[in-house]
Amino acid sequence: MTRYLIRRILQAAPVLLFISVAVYGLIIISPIDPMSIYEDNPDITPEDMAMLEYRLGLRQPAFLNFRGSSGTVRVAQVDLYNKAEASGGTEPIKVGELSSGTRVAIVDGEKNASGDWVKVLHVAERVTGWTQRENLSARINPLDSRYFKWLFAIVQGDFGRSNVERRPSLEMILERLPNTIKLMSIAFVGQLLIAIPIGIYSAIRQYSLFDHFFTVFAYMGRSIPIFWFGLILIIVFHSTLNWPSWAGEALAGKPLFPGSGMYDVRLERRLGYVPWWDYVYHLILPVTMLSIFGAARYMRYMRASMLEIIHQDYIRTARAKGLKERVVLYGHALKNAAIPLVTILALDMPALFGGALFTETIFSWPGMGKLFFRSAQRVDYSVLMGIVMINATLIVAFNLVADVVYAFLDPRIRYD
Amino acid sequence: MSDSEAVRPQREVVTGTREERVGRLAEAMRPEDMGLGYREEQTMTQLVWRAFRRHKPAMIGSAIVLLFALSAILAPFLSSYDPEKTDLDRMLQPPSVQHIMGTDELGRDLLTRIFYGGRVSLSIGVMAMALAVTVGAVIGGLAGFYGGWVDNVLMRFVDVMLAFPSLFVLIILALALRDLPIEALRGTAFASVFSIVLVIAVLAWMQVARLVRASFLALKEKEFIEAARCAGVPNLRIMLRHLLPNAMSPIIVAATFRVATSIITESGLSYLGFGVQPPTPTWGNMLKNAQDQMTRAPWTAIFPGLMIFVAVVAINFVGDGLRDALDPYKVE
Repeated sequence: MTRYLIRRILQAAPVLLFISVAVYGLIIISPIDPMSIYEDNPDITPEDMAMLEYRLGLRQPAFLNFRGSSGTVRVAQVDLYNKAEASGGTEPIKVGELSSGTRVAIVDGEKNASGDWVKVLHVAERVTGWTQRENLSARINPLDSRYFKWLFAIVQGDFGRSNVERRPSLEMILERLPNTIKLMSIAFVGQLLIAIPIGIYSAIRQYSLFDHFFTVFAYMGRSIPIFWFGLILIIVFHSTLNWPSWAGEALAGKPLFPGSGMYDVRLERRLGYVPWWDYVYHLILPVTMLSIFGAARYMRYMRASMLEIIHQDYIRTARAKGLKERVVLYGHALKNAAIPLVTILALDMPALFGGALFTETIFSWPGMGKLFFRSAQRVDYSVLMGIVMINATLIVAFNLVADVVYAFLDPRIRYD
Repeated sequence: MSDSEAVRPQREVVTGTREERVGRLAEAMRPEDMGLGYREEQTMTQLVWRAFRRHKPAMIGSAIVLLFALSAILAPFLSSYDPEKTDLDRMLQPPSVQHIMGTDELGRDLLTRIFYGGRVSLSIGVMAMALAVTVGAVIGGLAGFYGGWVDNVLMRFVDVMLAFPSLFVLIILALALRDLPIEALRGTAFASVFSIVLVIAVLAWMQVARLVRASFLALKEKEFIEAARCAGVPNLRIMLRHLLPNAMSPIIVAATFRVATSIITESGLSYLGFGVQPPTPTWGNMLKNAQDQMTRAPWTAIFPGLMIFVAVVAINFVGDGLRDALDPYKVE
């Protein structure tokens, strides 16, 4: 078993690496240009733009850096142009010159018909322009790229700064994480409380009205779009239903359930703190939605698993021995039927942290899902990568946990 | 009767020449008399179709799917309103005789938008399924047929793809592929549809790959494949003409369910704003537009989602019916 564990852990690293490369690549090619907000600003000169790009590392190569990050001018005198072309089309304008020995930063590169061009920036004098690569001597470190910078940082726990909010990404993520966990864990418990008894009873009374009804229910739960269901819940319980007039002055006429947020800000301001029942009040709708959905899934698994166990011989033996039905069901059948369910539970655990994106967006719940959604809209690289990598790690880790737990619970399984 | 008579069989008196006796014997032993013959020839398709017909939800589902498909194809003929033309005088009108489903926030007739949105949503579902099934079948087929290291490598790839946190990666993919570098399509509505199809398919092919691999692994050992190989049939032909047709049943069922999940995925993405961009209507982005006024105008939110729900349930019914009809072990 230990060897199996070690093997699995060693296999996890390349998987996570691959995922990080793939996701990083996708984010890089997203068509959002962080510099676009500065482009129309007349007060920002092209030199300022070049400095900003250099400081933010925007034009650094994404994965492998074969053009170098800094170099020294090799030739006696080097002319800098505003474009990476020497001929053809419009004439490039000379924008500056550098003398031999000057250290420059290499901020961009282009290979075209007229040669291998790089854009250099003389930091102190803020002079920037294009010149031929051969005019410089540069030390090339292929790992000096955006991806590897990110990789080396994250394995040390540095999630970087959000380029939108200028705060450490980890801080932003950790702010939201508890809210998501609160929501998801209560929904988790709720869905199991609903699904397990119903699943068991459906299996015992197979083909009864109860069973048929809940089979249909589970079917609908699988097919309904979760975000639509949330909208319907809000429409019904928030817009349409109001507190009746006999509920007292403070409540009458107000919406029956809150449609958004984790707590009432005005209440907090009035009281100075948030009372526990305000949290509960705001939790009811989102948890209901998540529980019904999860329950629809688990109900089916529970029923199927239970059915398979009930028809086994040893259950018949237990009954023949004269054991009480309750003991037979809970002591023998359920214990065995729960094993596949536990596996599925373990596999669903990452959702506890990843958050239900749709639920949090619909109910404005300040959690990780909503953070991801906003970051995706603004293409906030660090936060996106942080959330995705945390989730991917959790998925891989819980896959392993599921296998181990399964082996632990079912003595017929042996890993080596 | 005494015991001995019951135990000992009676001796029969047989008459006739040898030819006559053989003739009578042959007459008596017709397959139909022994309950062995078919009353009529039945092809596999006929058998499947009859089993399918017996599955009531599947028939209801098929009828609904047909209805949706027809209304999607015939959309221009079904409604005279323009789905994209705004008419701010008629904003947010509740359902009435002129506008059976009401109007949306820009004054467009909702029913018309549902028809045209159905076109986009349903075709995205089908196209994504086609792409996912093709890719999955190729990868799974190669893995199952060749086995060995090919199988190992391809299945590791499938495992890695399954480790991606799907919703997150879907969104990031949709962002990245928003401006596809295909010049001919750039700027048209079709570009964003195409990129969504790609996005959904990329994360949907794994299940089909596993199915096809399992089928191929099992079928590979059968004698008719061995015979084909002995006859010198090249590998590719074996895969395409011998293995694949026999593996079709689980593929067809999986493909049907894939359409349903693709429709939900597309509407989810569009609802978040990462899917098909307005003004092209899809059921998902109609829900997105409806969110701001769902308190005042709930019909804008109710109807598009209802359509998604009904379509998905119908497709699931059909899938279940197909699965039961194609199941060779099903007890009648």
